[in-house]
Amino acid sequence: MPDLEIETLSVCYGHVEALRGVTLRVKDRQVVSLVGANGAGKTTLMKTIAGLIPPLSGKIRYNGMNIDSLRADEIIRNGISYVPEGRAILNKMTVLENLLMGAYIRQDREVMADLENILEKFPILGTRKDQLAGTLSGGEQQLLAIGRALMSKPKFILFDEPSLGLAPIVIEHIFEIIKDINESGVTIMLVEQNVHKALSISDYAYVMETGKIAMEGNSKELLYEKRVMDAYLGKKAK
Amino acid sequence: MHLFIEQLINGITLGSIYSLTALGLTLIFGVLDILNMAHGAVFMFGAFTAVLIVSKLGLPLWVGFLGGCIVSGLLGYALEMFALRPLRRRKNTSPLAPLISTIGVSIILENIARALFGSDTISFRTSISDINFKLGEIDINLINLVILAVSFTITILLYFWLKNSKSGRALRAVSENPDTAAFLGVNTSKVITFTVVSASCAGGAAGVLVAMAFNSVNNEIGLAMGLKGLAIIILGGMGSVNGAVAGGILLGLAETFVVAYGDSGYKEIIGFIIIMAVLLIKPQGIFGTTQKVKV
Ligand SMILES: Nc1ncnc2c1ncn2[C@@H]1O[C@H](COP(=O)(O)OP(=O)(O)OP(=O)(O)O)[C@@H](O)[C@H]1O
Ligand SMILES: [Mg+2]
Repeated sequence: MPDLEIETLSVCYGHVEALRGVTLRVKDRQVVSLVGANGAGKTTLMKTIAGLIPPLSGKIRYNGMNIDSLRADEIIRNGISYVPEGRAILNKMTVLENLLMGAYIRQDREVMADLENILEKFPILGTRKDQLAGTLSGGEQQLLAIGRALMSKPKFILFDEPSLGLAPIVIEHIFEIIKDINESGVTIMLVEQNVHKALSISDYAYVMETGKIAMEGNSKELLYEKRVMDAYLGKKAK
Repeated sequence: MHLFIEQLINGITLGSIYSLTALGLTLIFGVLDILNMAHGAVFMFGAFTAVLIVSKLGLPLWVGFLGGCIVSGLLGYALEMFALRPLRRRKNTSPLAPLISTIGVSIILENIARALFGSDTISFRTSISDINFKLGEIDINLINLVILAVSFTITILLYFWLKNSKSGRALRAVSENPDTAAFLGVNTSKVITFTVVSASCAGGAAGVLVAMAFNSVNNEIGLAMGLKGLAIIILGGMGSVNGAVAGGILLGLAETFVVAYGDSGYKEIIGFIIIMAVLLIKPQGIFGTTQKVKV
């Protein structure tokens, strides 16, 4: 089954235990969101799945295969792409070069055609294609990070706070794009501070508190659950 | 006037070798964020290898050149495997550890060179050493033209490879942000090894060219060249390819003209005078950029 399954995952930074036995599942072709207060461990979880941090213990399985000991460059070759918090644009490269780096793992002949598609889908990137990516605005950089992730033709995308620091109208656009990507058959795991928006486009959701899953459920139901807001604001759930 | 043009050619020739040396250093600095203090010693081994192959074995110059590049490349590989990679594997090492490690390697290589090649200056005469011709009023040494052609060719190939090829882009990505490069699918460890090896090959090539330019080699050129290389990349902007090329040419011209029109006693310090002047005006170097901090 092409789901992402995480089992009792623990991660440490030195002596700080950032994840303490996280268990969750992202079902194939769903959008699953992960919400929680600052410092709850959401980014740590994303980075661990992406292969940037080695887990202390626990399992990560994708497509039934253990991927918890793979390096980051092997993770993306298994179809999992990452749009990190802060976007991680390559500032000293042009927009076009960033997109080509997105297709780094591909050898096929359709890369150029896909590049054209992305530039058409995100016309603003088209008009800026020879500009250094570091000169783009925050919203444009977010589009570039998404376009770059799409260039690898992923089956699964990890989004870490894609709406961070963007104007409401741009946020609206970004969420539309995420919905579209999912409808094209890509499974999505979404970390968001924008709880209401995240729950409204996701199928299932997990709430994280200080390195643990505090609550989970169908997004539609969690929308009306007061404890979600409490966890988001960092209050102790009663 | 023709004297000026001759000096100009000499200066650019010397500068093109400096550029090649500094390019290697700047690439390594880019992907690893360290100053490779062993670069000069690697450069010197390239020079000695070529001299041995050509003078002792009597093989053609191009064989010597290739041999020098290969030996330097192998030394680069050893440097990465034994002195740099083990330090990256460990957590909580001091950021200065790799720098100290390269200093250690440079001392070891200097000692091996002394044991193998002695401390005397070895002369290096090649089949093209004494060929001169006149272009109007201007005296031209064939060897200068060969050096210019070789070093510019290598530099230009490197430049376009970095700019336009997939693997060149991967190298630049690792330079800018290793984590980002990694999650985009780049095997950063491979890229780093490849960079250290090719930078060392380029250093070895520069070593052979210097031996050709001065018709000799001794075991002091390593240290001298290592320091000049550092000076150039600080001058040009750390990690900048354009900076390494421009800085090298600038230093070559400055040294040549100081000797020709000024006091040859200043040859070795002119570079450092220029550096101080440039850094007073632009602390990050000619092509250097300050890292933008985005929140
Ligand atoms: N590199 C690091 N070294 C040490 N501790 C870290 C490191 N990165 C994160 N932490 C700690 O791990 C915990 C989880 O951090 P993480 O970034 O995963 O939280 P988050 O849920 O993404 O927060 P935010 O909503 O602010 O992005 C925090 O207590 C943080 O201080
Ligand atoms: Mg975070």
